[in-house]
Amino acid sequence: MLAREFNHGEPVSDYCKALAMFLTSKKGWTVDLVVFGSLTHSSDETLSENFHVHRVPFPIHTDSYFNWMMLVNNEFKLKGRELYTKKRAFDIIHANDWSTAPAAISLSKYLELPVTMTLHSTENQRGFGTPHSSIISTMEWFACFEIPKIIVSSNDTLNSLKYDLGVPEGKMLLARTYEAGWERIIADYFESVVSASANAKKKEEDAARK
Amino acid sequence: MKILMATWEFPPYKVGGIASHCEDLSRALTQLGHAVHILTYGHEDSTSTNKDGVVVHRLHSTDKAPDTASWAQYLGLRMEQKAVSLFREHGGFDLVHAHDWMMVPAGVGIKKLLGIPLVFTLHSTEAGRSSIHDSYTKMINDLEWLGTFESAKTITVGADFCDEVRHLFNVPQEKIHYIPNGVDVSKFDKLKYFVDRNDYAASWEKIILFVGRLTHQKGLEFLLSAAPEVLKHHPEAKFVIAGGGDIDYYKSMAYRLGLGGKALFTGYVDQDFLPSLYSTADIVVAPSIYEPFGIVALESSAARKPIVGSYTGGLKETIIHEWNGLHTYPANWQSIAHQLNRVLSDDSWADWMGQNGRSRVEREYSWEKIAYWTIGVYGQVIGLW
Repeated sequence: MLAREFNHGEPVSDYCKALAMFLTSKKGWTVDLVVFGSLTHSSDETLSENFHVHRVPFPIHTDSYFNWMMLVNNEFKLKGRELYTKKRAFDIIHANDWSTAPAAISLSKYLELPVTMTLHSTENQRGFGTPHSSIISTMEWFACFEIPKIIVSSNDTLNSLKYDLGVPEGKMLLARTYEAGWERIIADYFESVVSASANAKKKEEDAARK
Repeated sequence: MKILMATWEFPPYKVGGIASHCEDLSRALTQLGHAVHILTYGHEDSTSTNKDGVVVHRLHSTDKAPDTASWAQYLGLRMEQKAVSLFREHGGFDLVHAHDWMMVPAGVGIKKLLGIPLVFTLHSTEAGRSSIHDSYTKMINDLEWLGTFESAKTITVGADFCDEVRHLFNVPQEKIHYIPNGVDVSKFDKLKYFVDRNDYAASWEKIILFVGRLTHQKGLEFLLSAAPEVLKHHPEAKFVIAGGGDIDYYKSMAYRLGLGGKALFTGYVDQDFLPSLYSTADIVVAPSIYEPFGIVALESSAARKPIVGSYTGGLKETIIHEWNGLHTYPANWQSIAHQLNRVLSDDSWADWMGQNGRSRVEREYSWEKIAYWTIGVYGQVIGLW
């Protein structure tokens, strides 16, 4: 799981925490969450038996959030590759927002793992108010194009994806966070993706054997 | 070795000198038996193998970027994803070699994703090109630092420039190398494209040629200021200014100095026509204030022309005073006028210096030699020696 940050009270952080706790406690999965840490320090924390948070450092400031986030994504790629090499246990990569999509997509291509993303809001919803809004929106479009299924938390975001970014409705999974059971909807989807991926790999191996 | 090389410009897309540098270096590396894949910008995605056997992968970026840095970030992401598919297709690469700050996001991304070492070449610095005066230029400066920090080896194109980079970014001495630019002298012997000398000067005039971007860094204002003094002693002098940039500013300066028809601004000249343009010149002049390397000195020598250039940066080493050209004090028009007048007064000395320059570039600045040095650095990076 990739997110920009992991701080108490920050909405995306709380979302990641709730989903991770559900996946670990109810489904018995292991979740490694990779987020930005600080300019100089990295840290690894274990929040519950199978929920680990890895904070990666990035040493420079930039002129804009877009440029900074794109560079921080390089650190996410390194951490993701290192964790995979160490554990060899990932089944799926889950990005949160455009700000982690570059790393998630690149890692999924390199590690040949399925990838999904929750888009918590779009740049259109946020008001398109910065000089980099256009390129951020382009990055959102790119992520929606590259990633097979986009999870959204509200009808507003679903509509923005549909009408502002042109994402087909069938490509979206709505799991409203203000309704009970949203974690289960996502967890069930994760399971179906992992299962489909395993079946596809098995078929490939069988075909190669023949 | 299998080398991924990231450069935002590669012929036919050319803005600065990096395109030609990468073209010549990749050709020389390929001729030595190494496989080179270029990742670069293109109007649309494509892959082709050029006449030198170099595989060129062009990737489109975005037209939604508000500045060069974010444009380069997006291009870098696309390059990185192409690198993943090439990595699988070709069974891996030994290293990625990125050129200048615009390719730092791509180079670092590829390094971290694929787990291969990064070699980083700096052709100039933001601190030298302009100054670090706002958050944007500071970011470029920081990206240059990041390139030196993340790379296994940093290559610089000038000896003085190597010291500049080492001090500016606190690069450990053992991590930084100086490998000069090279010049392909064959381009100056077998001209493919021709310019007509009559378009630039009368038959009795002697052409003093300036080639470069018309920016403050190149010191053109000092050459123009020197021109009246040169013309007083040598009315046969004709100043031909080849390059794009702040052309209107310099044209108005030439007008104010009363240079009239004695200063001709050609605008940007395509790289293909440059060897022929050099061949029409009598003297080449490089009045730069800041010049990490100064390819113009090698090109003038390849064309057997004497060079009058500032005693700064790479020109300190490419010009041997009174042997293949003359040094001037940087940012000093009197010095430029004095040295130009000396060369204009002695044709046989000018010819002798031109010949000396040619033999030196053949001996010391061939791309084959530069490719060998680069392979030396690559070999250290991947632990061959």
